[in-house]
Amino acid sequence: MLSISELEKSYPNKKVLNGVNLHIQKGEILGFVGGNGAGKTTTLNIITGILDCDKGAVSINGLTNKSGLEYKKQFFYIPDTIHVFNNVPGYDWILFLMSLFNIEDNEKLDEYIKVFDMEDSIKKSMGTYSYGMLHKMSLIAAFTINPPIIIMDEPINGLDPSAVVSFKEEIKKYVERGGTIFFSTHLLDVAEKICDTIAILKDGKIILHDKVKNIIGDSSLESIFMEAQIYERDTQPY
Amino acid sequence: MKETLNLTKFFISSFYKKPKQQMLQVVLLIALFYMFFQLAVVDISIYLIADTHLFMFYNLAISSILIYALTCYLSTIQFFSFKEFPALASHPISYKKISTAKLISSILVPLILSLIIQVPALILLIIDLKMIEIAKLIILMPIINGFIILSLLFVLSFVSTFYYKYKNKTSYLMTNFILMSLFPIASIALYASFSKNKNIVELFEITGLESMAGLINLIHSILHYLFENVMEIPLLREIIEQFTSNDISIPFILITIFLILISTLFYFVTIYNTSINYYKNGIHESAVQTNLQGSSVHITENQWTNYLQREVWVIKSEAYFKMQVILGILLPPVISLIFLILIQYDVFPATLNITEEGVLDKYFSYLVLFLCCINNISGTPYSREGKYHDLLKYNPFNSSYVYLSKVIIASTMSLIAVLLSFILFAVFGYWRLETVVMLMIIAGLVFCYNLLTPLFDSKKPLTDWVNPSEAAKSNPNVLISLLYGLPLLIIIAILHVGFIWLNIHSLLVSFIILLVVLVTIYILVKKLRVTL
Repeated sequence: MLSISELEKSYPNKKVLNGVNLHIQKGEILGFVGGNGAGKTTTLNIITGILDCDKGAVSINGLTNKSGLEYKKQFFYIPDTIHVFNNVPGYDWILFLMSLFNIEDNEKLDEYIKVFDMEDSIKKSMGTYSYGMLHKMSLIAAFTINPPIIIMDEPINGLDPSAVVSFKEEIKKYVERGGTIFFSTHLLDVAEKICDTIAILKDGKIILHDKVKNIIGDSSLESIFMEAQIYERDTQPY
Repeated sequence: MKETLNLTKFFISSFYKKPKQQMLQVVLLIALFYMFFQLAVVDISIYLIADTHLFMFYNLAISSILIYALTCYLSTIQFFSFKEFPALASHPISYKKISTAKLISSILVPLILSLIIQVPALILLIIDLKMIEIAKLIILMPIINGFIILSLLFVLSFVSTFYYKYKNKTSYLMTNFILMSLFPIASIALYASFSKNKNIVELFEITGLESMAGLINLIHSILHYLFENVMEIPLLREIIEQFTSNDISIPFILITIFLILISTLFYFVTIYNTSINYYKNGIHESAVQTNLQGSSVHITENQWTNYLQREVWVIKSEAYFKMQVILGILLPPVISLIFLILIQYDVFPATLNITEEGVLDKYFSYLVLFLCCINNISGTPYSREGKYHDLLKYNPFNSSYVYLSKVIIASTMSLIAVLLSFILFAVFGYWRLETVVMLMIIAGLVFCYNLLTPLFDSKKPLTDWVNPSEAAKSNPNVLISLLYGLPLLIIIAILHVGFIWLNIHSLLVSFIILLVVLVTIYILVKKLRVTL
């Protein structure tokens, strides 16, 4: 489904990715875990075409970024910071995104708007949305479009408790329909409950990639994470 | 096609940002109405003073200038910026479609605005049943305006293609600015080289200004004079002749077709240029935003140093702000230089007495002062902080220090501009002892102005911006800050002129004004320290 091989990326004075290899199967929910600055967002940005890599390759269903728009129709990306046109209503934006994927199922859209409790705000300008509302709007778009894979960067951040519940339920339904999920998260308990597979990124390399049950055994993901000493407290000043 | 249309709508809607505060909405509405009203008055005046021929010409000229200015502004904030890249890059839409949508929106917005300001002109022509002129205004005017927009975007698109090669955004914006300035400079040079008519000064001498009829006569002569000079320029003459004549001839049709063809060519080349390296440029834009050069911090016991450093960080946070500062420093000396050259060529009418002893330095000084106020960088210092403005609220910042450090930064920029302008004044050989006093007066007034202009912005900053131009040029606080800053300057300037008019010795007047300025600064600083 999604294949990443020997991915490398450097920023000035810092090598962020140092040969990342990862393979995700169809119908899998993969949690991408790592400390702050481990390179999770950079990896997702490279997969989705927002960033260029220095070395390596990414392919989804045999298509690469060079395949053009067909490649981008294989996934829907929900970044952590969602960039929008401020004066455009969320509803119009989703309709626009649906048209890019040749989806015209407005009934399904209305259904997801209800699921994520956005009836009152979906027709307001996106500039008025909170961080959580932007995430809900993107989730509505993602589930309506129903692409082969949904890629998400910290999808639960900013969601209210009922939206988190809806999110978990919709993920399950989406996977049952044959979809694949690849998301990064800091929330280890959520990853432990939702994911089939976990990949842990440290210093630009995947140090652990296996089924959740194989990784944690009788322990918890949190203790495995701490044991691997990959938890890095963010001491950087703002 | 559907996607391009939708995206065009999104781009058009993101051109403006309605301020949240009702008061600002009202101010903005008044400002827009005032601009429209002003243009309507100019239109009606020309229509009443001159004939239809001249009216059509000036209509075209005003519209072209407006279109050019709008295109410069809109292209900087949207067409040649890649702010939408993170929002669109991961979605299945081609870069050509994005560029097309951006281009169409960049053409439509100025075109629609220019058509709106044509409404009074159209009404006047309808009243007089001048059907051919109406047809030309509706058909040829948008074509010429479209041609102007596309010509500028076509040239700038060559720079934009290689945006990713620029190491920083300031140099990219400066290159664009220089190219944008070249068009008007070239137009003026072209006008000057083809101008064969008598000197404009002679018009003032021939026409008497004693009566209203004399004044109208003078305006009519000036309108005619400029028109005749423009008509000396070969290619332009053909276009204007066809636009202003009251018949539809074969050359008119040919010129229309020619302009449409050239514009179409520019349209496709511009789209090609902007889409070819769109991906590289988009990534470069994101990198420019995320890989900002870290500012070094020098914590000292002197609080001023710390607070001033913070202000420098705010300016350095966006290339647009840096460019604004550079322009703020360069504008007064450049205009001063042009002013001094014009004086050397004796262009100004004798009735203004500009070159008279004790008068020139006053004219020059106040020109520099008001030029420093044009690029109003001191009017929006709190808005420029954007999302970081909240840091001021929940951290123990001293509000007086914050305010005054903003004043000091803005005043330093203005003082550099004032000094450079006065150096030019000295180089041209006009320096006298009194000029030192004038320099001190202007420096003091610039400080007074900068003390007052941030007042409104400190209370109601517009921090919810995405594009930095929203915080600066298109921020309604700019207009309001002028209301805070300018009245004092105007009062002191009138006082100065009044004293001279009363035949009090020029040097003594200058000293009195300097004293007034110093007392004003003292009162303002004292008052601000209490209220902030």
